[in-house]
Amino acid sequence: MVGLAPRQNPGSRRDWLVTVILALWLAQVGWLSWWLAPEGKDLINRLLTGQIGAAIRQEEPFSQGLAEVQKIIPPAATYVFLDRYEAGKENKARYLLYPRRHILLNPQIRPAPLFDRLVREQAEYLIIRDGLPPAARYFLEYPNHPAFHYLMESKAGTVYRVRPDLLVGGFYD
Amino acid sequence: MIEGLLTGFWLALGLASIELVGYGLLLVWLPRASNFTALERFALGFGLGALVLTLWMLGLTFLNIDFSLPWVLGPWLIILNPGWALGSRRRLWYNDLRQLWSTGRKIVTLGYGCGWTWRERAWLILLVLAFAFALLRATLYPLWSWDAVTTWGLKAKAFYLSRAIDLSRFEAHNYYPNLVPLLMTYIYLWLGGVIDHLVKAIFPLWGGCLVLMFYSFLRRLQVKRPEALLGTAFLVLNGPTLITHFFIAYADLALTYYTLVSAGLLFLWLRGQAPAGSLILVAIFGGGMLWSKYEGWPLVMINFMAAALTLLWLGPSDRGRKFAALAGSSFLTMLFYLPWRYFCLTHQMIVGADHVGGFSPAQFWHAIIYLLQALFWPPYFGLFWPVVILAGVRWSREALYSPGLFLVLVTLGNLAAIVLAYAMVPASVAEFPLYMRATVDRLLLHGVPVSGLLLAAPLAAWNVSLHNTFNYYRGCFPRQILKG
Repeated sequence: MVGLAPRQNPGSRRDWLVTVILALWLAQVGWLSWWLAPEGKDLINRLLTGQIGAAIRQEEPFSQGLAEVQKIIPPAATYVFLDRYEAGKENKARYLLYPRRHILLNPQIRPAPLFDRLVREQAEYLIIRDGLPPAARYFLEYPNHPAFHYLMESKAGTVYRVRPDLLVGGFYD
Repeated sequence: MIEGLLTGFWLALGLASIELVGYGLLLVWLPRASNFTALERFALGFGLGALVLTLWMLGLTFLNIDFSLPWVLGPWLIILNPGWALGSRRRLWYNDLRQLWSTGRKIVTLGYGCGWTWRERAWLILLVLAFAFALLRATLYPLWSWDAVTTWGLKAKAFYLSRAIDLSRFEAHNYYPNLVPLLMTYIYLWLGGVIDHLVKAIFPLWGGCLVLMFYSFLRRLQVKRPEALLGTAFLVLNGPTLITHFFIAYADLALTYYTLVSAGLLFLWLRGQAPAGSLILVAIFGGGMLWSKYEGWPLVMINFMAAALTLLWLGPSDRGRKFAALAGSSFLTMLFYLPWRYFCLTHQMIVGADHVGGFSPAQFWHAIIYLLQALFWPPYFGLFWPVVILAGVRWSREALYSPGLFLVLVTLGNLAAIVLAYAMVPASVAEFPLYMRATVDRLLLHGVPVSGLLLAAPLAAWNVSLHNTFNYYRGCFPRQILKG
């Protein structure tokens, strides 16, 4: 609004500048409306259908999967979640599964540090979000490993029950 | 249906209780000579209520008392009961209610029948549409945005479920101050559960208070109503950043609000136009900055340093008294951080290690270039920064010899602090640009409304001559404050 003053000199450079700035700003308001329009449309649609709040979250497959996982992991339990933070899924899992204790580990983690953390944190569950990361192969190649028990394949990932007491020390890759 | 209405009722009551506590304290604390308007007291009340309730919740954690409505709200209701504290200011709050009713009616009727021009109504309509959108967008959708889910919402859920500040089951920047999570926890107490779409009603309301304060500051800086409405619409509807923060449940909106109030009142104080009791509010709302976000620290320091430098440069005759008052205010502000600092110490929490590393010259230069791009890239803040910079440059000579210097220094200080922060952030070469892209709009947002006050001069000068514009900067504050 630099050129808004004064108006005593009609046709002056300042008035010209005012007009240009106001016109640009109004064009920008138009762009902003266009930018927000899809959200506005969705919003009106949801108001009409009553599909709001938690129901919106359940439209997403990952959240549906977490709702299934929520049923099998007790609130006091600790679980390890194998995922990359940047993927933006792990934080949702941590939020939705709270108060379950959440430990994030990189899917590329090698078996020894993974097992070490499972023991140290006394984690009773393991969730692998992204397919079959290298660390997971170790025990998936040994399906009868007593420490891991496959529970389910949900839209949030593969869930294992872990018995850390059976993972006895001496971890070497 | 009835259950939904009942939940809405509890939500409204919860939000109203925050306002009631803050507004009540303002009535009791502020001197009778203080000439804040009803609108200002309303907008200040929400921020003050949020601050004292959440600090009290931290106090309850120290006392090992579980969060519950009787414990969180009860003491304040006893202190402020209408028979005593509020009763003594009965006429004041009765008049405020009448004024707020009248203002609310004007907003609802979009200024029809009140003698408003079509331009005033147009700006008001734009603002009403923006807030209607933000309110619906906030309360219909669940928590979704990254930091809302990762940090603020997660903490709120944890605090509510454990009825205390319990950070033992996760690591989510645990040393961050907790005003926003605790305020969300407080609303959960009213709702009786973690209903994370309704709790977001806090944010459009807070945004509304921010906008009311911005409008009020413009009016106090002699901007007429039509231009003040235009300036306010210009602030809100310039790029999607501010409007997005009205509904995404980040702590940045709270920090932006407290920064505006604290710096705005400091500016009025430097101009000699501040209502009585303003300097105490500067300190209290500075405390709100510290309690909202970790970034509040540098912003508070910038505010006080800019005020001190302005006084030093202008050299008013009573500068000794003013410096003492400023020092007292800054000392009071720092006291607000002590309780949380003590909590961090007693819980062995390391503060800031994940955000502050060594100085990197490469990151420093990269940050300058990226910041300049962000200032002028319309999808962040539209035309806001180019126009503010134009205003600053156009009136720089006048501002240099007036308290307007404070706004210039605060703006430059904020920009410098952002660059410095990026130069010191521990990030790899690959992730640094991503980190900047994800955060620069938020960091710029904190200073947007304060820098927006630079527009007060051209807006006030809309109908006066350029000569008077110069006087606008020089006038309205004691003449001896000027050097030349």
